[in-house]
Amino acid sequence: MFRNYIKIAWRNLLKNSTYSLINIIGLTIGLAACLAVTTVVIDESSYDSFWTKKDQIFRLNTITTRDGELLEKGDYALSGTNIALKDFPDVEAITTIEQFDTNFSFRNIRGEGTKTKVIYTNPSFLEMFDIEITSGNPENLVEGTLNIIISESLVKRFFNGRNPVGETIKDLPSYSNEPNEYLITGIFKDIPENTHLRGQVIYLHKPRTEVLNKKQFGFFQTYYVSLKNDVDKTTFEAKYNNWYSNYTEVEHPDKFELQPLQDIYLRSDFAGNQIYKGSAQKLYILGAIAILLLVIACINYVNLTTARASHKMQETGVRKVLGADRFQLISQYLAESGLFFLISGILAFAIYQLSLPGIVSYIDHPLALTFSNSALLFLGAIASIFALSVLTGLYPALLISRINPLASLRKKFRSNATGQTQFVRKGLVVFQFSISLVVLIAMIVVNQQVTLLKSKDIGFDASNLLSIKYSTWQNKGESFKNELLKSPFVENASISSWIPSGGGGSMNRRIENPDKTGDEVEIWYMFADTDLAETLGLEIEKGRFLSNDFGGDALPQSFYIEMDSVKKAELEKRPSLITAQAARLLKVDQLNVANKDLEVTPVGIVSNFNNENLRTSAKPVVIQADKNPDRGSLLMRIKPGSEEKVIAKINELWQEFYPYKLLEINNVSDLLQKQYEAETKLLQFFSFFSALSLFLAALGVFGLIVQVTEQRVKEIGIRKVLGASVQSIVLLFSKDFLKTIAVALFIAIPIGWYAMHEWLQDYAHRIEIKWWVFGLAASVVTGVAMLTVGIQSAKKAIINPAKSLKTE
Amino acid sequence: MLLQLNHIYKWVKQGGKRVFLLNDISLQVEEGEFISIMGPSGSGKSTLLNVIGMLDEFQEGEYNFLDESVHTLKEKHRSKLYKEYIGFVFQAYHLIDELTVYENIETPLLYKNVKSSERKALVADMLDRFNIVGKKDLFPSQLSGGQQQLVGIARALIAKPKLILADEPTGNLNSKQGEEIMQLFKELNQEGVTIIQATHSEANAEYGNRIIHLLDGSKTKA
Repeated sequence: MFRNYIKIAWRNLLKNSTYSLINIIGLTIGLAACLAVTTVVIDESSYDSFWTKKDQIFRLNTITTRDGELLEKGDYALSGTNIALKDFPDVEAITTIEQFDTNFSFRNIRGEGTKTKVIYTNPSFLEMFDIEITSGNPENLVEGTLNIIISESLVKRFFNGRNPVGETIKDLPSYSNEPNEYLITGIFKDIPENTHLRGQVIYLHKPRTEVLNKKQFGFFQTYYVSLKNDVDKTTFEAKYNNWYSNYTEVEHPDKFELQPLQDIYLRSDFAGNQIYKGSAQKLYILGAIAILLLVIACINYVNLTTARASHKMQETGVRKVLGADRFQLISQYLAESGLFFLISGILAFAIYQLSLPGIVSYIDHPLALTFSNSALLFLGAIASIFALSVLTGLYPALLISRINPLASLRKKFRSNATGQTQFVRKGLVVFQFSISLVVLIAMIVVNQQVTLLKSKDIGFDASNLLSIKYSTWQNKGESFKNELLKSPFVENASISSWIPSGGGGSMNRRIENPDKTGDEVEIWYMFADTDLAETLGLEIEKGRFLSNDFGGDALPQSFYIEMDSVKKAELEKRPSLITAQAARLLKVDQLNVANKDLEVTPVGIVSNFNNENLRTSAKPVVIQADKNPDRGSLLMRIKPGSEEKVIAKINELWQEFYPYKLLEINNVSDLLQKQYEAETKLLQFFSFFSALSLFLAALGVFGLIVQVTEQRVKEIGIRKVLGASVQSIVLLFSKDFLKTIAVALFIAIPIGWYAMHEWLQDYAHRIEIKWWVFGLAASVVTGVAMLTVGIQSAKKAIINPAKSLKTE
Repeated sequence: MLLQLNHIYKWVKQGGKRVFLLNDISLQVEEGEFISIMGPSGSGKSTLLNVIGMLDEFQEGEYNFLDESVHTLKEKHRSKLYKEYIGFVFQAYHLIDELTVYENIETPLLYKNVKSSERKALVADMLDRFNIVGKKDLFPSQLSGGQQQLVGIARALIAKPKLILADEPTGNLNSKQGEEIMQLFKELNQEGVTIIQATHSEANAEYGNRIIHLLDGSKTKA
């Protein structure tokens, strides 16, 4: 029986090839897109679920509040917290974790380095996270050297099957000048990729031993705590917070929260130190779009199948007369939808498999779980597709099997069956168009916003600006810079602790807003040598730039260490540049007078510039000069078109000055663009999916218009005999679809406007949503639909009526 | 006795008035009869056949089929009854276009859940008997009208019904094809199958051993 169903379904599929093709293309695209997006969603939600003690381990986050209002939340706590926590019997283990990349020379070749992900932690990490050590005893630290353990895959890649435990390797330092030596004390089994704690090397060190400062002052570290099995997280949080508020002597004690290990990857927008993180919100958007696409594809199937119901009615009637009961008929139609989903499912899997590398490069990290490497996920996908085929096939199946055999044999079905199905069908088309419109509106708005972010004047020219990554200069920074300036292509250079894209500045301070009592404003301080403002290309509006020609402009970097009252008084005399914005805010009209609020003496007012990124508005900035700074990035203003020559020059000088050190040169405009990577990716995503949803909707309309014109071919013939023109017939069919789109517009515009309005609230600099955005989206959708309808109905309208009337 | 209709009334409402499709029809059919129903278009021939075939309902009267009171039966039971005992032959053949000759004939057996091996044997017998073995893999569109109707009859017979209901079985055929079909019905009847046919044609009606005339839903004297 079942074989018979499949056989018939297959023949039907071949016989109605246009209809079948539309269905298969539509379903394949819907399923493939859904698989692609779901694979990302599943992978992201699987993060950190594999750790043995995942339910016991937490990260300790510090929450700073003032009068109940959240000021700051951070993924760190004061150093010494580990010592304090040890006294609590609820705590099983504590470790600090820091993550960074290091260039190791595994083969010990000078100048060669492999960028490696490092977890910098205490030996207690190994037991806490159940790291499987396959060789060595790394928990016993070897004194007098740096201890690292390396992953099995690194051993395989670099050591030719040799056990490297006991060997020493060097790194290619990017910060210090001389390479460090590391002793390999063990090998560990690779940690799966789906964790925020990605690491190919675990760099082990002793925990710090200072006691927790009672003045809430000191050095911050990121702590991970594992609680004993029976300890409740909330109870312990309260207990620790209570203890801490008694312990500390400050007026506003910080609060602490334990963040479950499995939440860390997706729910850590606040965490500044965390390198690998996702966003739950982004996952919701992704998931929603995947579901929408699938819904559009399934709607196409339902619509086309019900539109074809009239073709099926007669066959169904005969089958009923021959003794088929309803269940048998439903099974048959379900087998048909099953076959469509089977074919589309196979194609979708193939597309999915082919697009995996693209997906990985889009999300920029490997996928630990995919439909092709996990049997469970694969079976789950198969089962879901099967369930979907039943769900989708059910409505048409019920509809077709319901008919009265007599009526269907007499061809009376049209009048009674179509009223309701037309309503459902139109409703579904409205829904499809609404989705397409919303996605299209989103795409246009995101596009405008990204353009704004990338092109807005930020107060300085970011092109022809190069930077060398933050480093130590070994007292040779000044001479390196001077050598560089000898090049005719380098116009200006500055060693600065801040460069564009490196946050708001070197330091910030909140001072009371003189215009509005009770309100605080953020002032950013930048420390560099005297040339930062000129290198950036800021205009001087009043006063003068900083310069070494004036004796007191630059102070040594060590000035801030061990501050006392004498030094503090000195500080206020320190000559500084302030931006026009700072000057206006603090009503600085006289230069060379110490400003109490800023604790500096402004000597020049420079033009405003955006110190952070365009998500936030430009803040008042103070620029101060360090004498011969030894730590910082090197910022260079070069002549247009001379980039290659300058880079060659830098490389040459670098070899001479810092032969062991890694050199990293960046284009500042690239660094700035990179800040908007998330928005750019969102734009790519919306562009892709708006194209897909529009295509699917057009496919659906195409299928429907084919069916409708086929059904009404006789009507067209009669109208033509009565004198109708081709245009009037095309218009007749278009009118129906136009009405549908109009309804969709009414639904889509408010939703699209609201969603994008909310999205834009994250940006200090944002576009305004203009009415033409909706007009454009509406015309695109209308255009696509009308083109589809027009061509198809014109095709039927030019048929000679004698022919169409005869065949009926 | 195979079936009995007692004072059957069937009507539709048109503009608040009853229009009778069947008006007080009583009919008794014995096993082995060959009955022709005659009458002009719209006289109620098809309606009567459909009522007998349990495809259509009626408003008043009684209908007994092999000791079962059809008018009191539930839909499910009724369809079981006609599935078991009645075969239909249509003027427009109503073969399923997507199925081959073989599969068209096989379909009623599928719905009766007959086993595969048995199905094969039964269909093979039928193809043999109607001399269409060579056409078993063709689709309806590849056959002439007469051949299609032959398949239609084969399909109606495959489940071994007691009664064949034929609604203008030769209506779409030329006279020679029609004659062959009627000849076939006659043979079937001689083998014991009860046949009721609706027809316009006097000549075809003569094949039956009883003729019923209908006009505006009522029986008339010939």
